Amino acid sequence: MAALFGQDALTDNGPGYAFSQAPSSAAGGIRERSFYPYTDNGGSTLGIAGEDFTILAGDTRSTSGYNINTRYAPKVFKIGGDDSEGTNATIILSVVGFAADGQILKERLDTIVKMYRYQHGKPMSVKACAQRLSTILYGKRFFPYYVHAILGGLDEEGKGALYSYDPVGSYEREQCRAGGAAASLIMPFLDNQVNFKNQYVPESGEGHALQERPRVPLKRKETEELVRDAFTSAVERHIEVGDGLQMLVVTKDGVEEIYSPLKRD
Amino acid sequence: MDTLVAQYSRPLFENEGSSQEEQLELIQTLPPLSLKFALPPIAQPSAFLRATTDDHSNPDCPIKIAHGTTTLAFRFKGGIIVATDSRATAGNWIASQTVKKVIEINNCLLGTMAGGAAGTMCAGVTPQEGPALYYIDSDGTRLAGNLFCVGSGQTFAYGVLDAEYSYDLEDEAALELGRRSILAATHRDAYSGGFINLYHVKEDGWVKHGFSDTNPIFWKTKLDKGEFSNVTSELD
Amino acid sequence: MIVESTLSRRKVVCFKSNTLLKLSSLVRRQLGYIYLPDLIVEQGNADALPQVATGEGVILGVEKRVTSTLLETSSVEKIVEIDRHIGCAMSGLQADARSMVEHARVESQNHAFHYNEPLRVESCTQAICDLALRFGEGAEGEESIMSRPFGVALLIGGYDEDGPQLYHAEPSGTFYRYDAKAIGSGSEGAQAELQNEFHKSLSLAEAETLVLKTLKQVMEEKLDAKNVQLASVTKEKGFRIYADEEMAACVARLPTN
Repeated sequence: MAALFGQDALTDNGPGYAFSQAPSSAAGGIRERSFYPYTDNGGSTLGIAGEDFTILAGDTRSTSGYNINTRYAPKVFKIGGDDSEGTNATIILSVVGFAADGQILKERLDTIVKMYRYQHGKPMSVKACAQRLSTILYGKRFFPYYVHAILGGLDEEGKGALYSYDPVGSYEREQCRAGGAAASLIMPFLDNQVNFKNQYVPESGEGHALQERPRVPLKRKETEELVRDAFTSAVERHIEVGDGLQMLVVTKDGVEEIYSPLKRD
Repeated sequence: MDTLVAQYSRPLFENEGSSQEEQLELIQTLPPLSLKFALPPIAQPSAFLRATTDDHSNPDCPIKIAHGTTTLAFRFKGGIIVATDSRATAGNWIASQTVKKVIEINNCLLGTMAGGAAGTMCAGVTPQEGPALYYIDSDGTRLAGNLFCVGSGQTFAYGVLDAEYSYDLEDEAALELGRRSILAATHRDAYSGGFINLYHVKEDGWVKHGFSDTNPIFWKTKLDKGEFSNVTSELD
Repeated sequence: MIVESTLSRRKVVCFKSNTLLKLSSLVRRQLGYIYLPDLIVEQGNADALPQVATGEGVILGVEKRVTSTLLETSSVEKIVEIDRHIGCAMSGLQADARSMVEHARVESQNHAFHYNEPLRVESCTQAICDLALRFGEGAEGEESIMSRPFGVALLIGGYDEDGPQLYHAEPSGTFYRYDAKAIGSGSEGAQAELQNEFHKSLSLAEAETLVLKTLKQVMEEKLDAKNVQLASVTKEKGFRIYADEEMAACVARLPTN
């Protein structure tokens, strides 16, 4: 943790808060401090929207550099519930990147969704929440939250809805999305298993005549299996992912939380 | 730029932690229409922004904003064709293959978007102007014109569009030209790809002509029309 | 302290008596003028039965008092659009109404920008009423923007996910929802007529007729297609002010007596 507080800033090449870096001297005795307020806390998240449910999942490891800060730091949260536990929430959010930014972002959105309920006398829809999250992120266009956010819930028709964001609020509704350290390991797997990318109907023809396998919505059980497979595989090949897998599943009956262990090495 | 930005943001070097104003903003569900942009508390916010978010000048920047694009629009006798690809890249990572880069402003106005330094286009039919097409970019350029290609793949799209363009094109031929120009860009520009998003703006509003995968279109163009003969599907 | 001043036939409720007294000459003159000149009748058929689903909506109607033969009647604007799905009719100081409507328009667009959905009619009414209290010296944390209270009452009609709705926003900042409501001079008689005639299964065309009939009863001049104006808010077409031909058709449908 020493690196975090900059006791040994000059020899520290790993990530750390910039406030900790030693001032560099310039001509005329002007001292300059660099400002680097971000830390990458590692970890990975993923979301999949199904026919009548949405799953958001994240590992629970938090790192800075090669250090593991904690083995249980949740990355998926309930938004806009009745209390601080998120009772009766219908919207979920995952954040990965800089944990402190993620925490604040989650709190801001939660407050806004709760206030919306008072002011407009109805719960916020995922569609409305998705747009609002975008404008929150864009409000910090020139000092961004260092986060990759994914928002989940059910749309007006009761279908699974999933929205993914870049750090400054550009967003899109998708069927699946992986974020964070192992995104590049997980996303290609999801493309293939959720959107059936590069899968073809057997014996439907030769070469370019091959027909693409038609997309069908996934069942909840197989989706949970898919999520688990994605994370156990990512843990094998990425040092910043591990310890525990936290899943939040939104259905018409509410949000269910599932925790299962991952390898701790 | 900084002075301009400062005008629309909070003053620099404000108290650390949240001020009363900031706390108020936290509980306010609706900020004013003119977004109050937060700024890093340093003298040169633009330098900070470049170091942290601009992967062109700093490939190791921690926050990679998605961009990279080909978009095009042209006027012809039947209205305006608007076409885009759908790829978004963050560094070498393909962040998305399904971006909707055509913005449906209302039933007779369309916008296109291209990230990074590229600009946007605005196409629409108004009673005052008839079919109108403008190019706009982030430093305030605004050009009216008949034909624009924008983004990292613009040169490839221009290559096809300039060669085949005529104001007197029929609707079908114009749509095909838009599609073919984007296809050329997705083929030669690594930052472009995914799906071809095609629109036709007519006098009584725009019509969408699909969001179609480039891959089958590429092979159809090659095998049925004999184009892209440089690409072989056999290994000799 | 709340003061009720009976400056005209109607009562004006006003907070902070000193504000009113300090600015008395101007304000009294204006407040005294508020409810006299015009009449507005509204009618909304909320919760309509599915059988009359085609007629679901809100009808707004006003008398356009033509004070001079030289007056260009099209310049009398008493019904205005707030958003595609919300319209409003006014009784009182039109200048005040304009700034309230402007506020509501911004609020509505701002909501659409941040939430990608239309603002609810009730929330829009609330937003207008929030503005009504921002006069006087200004409390802590909130800047006051006006030296006197508004001198106008609004009827706000709109259509959202809860169907057609009608609200009456008073100058005091309170608001109520109505099935049918008349405000302005002659509103007592008009309200009584609405009370008798309104039923929940009214079709849109029947609502048009009822509004015109009610206006006709309380107007001094003879009602014709020129001195009244109608507007509707429906799910399909949103807010719409009736064109001259439509007005003429509606007036022609009135029973003659």
